[in-house]
Amino acid sequence: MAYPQPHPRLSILSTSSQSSTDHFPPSSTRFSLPTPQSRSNASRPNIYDRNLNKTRIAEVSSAAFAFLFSELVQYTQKRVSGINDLERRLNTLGYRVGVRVLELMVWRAESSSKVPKREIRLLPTLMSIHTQVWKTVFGKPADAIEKSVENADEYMIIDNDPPLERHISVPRDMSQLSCSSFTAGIVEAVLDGLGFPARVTAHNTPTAQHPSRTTILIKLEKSVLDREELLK
Amino acid sequence: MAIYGLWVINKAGGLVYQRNFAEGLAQLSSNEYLVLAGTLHGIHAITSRLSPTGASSGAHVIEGETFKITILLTATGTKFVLLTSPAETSSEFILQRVYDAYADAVMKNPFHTLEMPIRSEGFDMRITTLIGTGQTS
Amino acid sequence: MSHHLFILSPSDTPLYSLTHYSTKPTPSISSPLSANLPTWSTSAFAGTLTALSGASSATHHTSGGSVRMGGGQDRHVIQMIANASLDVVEDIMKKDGAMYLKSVDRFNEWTVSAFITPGNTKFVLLHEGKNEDGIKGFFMEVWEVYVKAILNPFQTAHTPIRSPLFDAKVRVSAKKHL
Repeated sequence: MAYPQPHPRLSILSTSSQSSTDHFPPSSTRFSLPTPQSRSNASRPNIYDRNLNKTRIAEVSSAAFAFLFSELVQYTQKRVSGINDLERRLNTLGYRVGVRVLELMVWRAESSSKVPKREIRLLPTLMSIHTQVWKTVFGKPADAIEKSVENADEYMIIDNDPPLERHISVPRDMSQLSCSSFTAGIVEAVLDGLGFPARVTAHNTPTAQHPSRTTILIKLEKSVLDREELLK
Repeated sequence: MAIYGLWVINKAGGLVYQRNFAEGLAQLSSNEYLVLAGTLHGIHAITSRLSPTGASSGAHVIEGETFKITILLTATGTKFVLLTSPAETSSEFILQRVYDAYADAVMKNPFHTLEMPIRSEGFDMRITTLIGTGQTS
Repeated sequence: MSHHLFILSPSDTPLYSLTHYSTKPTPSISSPLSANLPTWSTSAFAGTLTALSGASSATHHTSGGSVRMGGGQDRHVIQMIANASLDVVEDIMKKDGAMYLKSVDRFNEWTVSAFITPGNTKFVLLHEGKNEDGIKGFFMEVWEVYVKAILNPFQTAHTPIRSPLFDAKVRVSAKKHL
């Protein structure tokens, strides 16, 4: 059914697509890649010529990210056999992000330092994940960090309202699924990079006050605790 | 003033969400709701062609003696329909907010399938916060 | 005077290598750096390496590089020295949080300096002269280019870096600092 009257919302979209057609040859559609010609005209320089601090305080549209993450979950869901598999794949995708987050975050913090340092102690590393990594990725620190009472090798990072899951409603038949497995992957990559190999998983731990409260569970490998013991 | 019910009709005329908020509506079976939604969809399509001065986006409000139907049509053809008492004045505002909630809790939810019935706790919660479960003053 | 740079992934697979011939004069080494290092750091590999380079084990401890024996400039010997230094690097990085590890290892005329990125990628540089500030400046610039390279979604921490732009940037830095 066609509604020829331009709707107020539609008009916003149509003007933006109008202006984008100015840059592309008329044959190209909205989804085609820009031609090499238009790319060379672009004012954005190559990544190697750009300052890595330029986008330090830049923000990403949370709506754009929510749509992207939603597609990412849907794409993954079509290719897995169960919830565990889905969580594992989300973890892997997060890991790829985490590797980059770690390098970029530490570069921004340390590149101007006279003696750049990498963190080698466990507790400061966990604290910097709780604060620095969360701020870099989500724009706010996590809500709590706890040490497991039962197991010496387990730590938990708690987010009362993970921005990643703000728009996600998991159906009842998949209630164990936590899309924060993606975040767990980021944490795993950061720990791995700094030399603290661990298995990181995400779990829903709702409370009455925070229905989407999520716990990121970090289970460290034995070698990590042995090394901490030696460094004491 | 009272808000009786909210419908969401997809672009093909299917009812994908229906919820009642206050007593006063006739009790209907889900099949009857589907038929009503389809009929409204058809009427809406006709009204969009009735304009003597070119294109129109169709009916916005349908009023009766005891009720009022306010319709919000989105750019993609989804319709939000609010059934209220005739004196209700906030219908348009509420529909805009329903649209916001739909964009956030439904369209950004990876577990929603386009044009299919909306089963999202997040959307339910947002609507509850917006309209309430029962009578509004 | 030549420099050899190797970039190694967290699992020690080579991602990138560069040989740079500097035109700058060789600064004279005033004090033998090996004196500051535990002797086992080089001697553990001395047997294999001298066999490869053809040098006798007696000459290898001669400091100052006055006696040059065998093919110390052979590609495979260079790689061997770089690889051998990784054990030392790994020992140090477990105890020391510094990213720039200066002169961690020495073999014949070669001094090995290293740089560890937060993600555990290692830059290993074999150099002949002493040039701490220059090498640090070089490593810092390589780190920046490396961060930019890794931001590419097609690049992982384990795939060789083949970007010609990366190569060009590293060469410019090498020319500037080494």
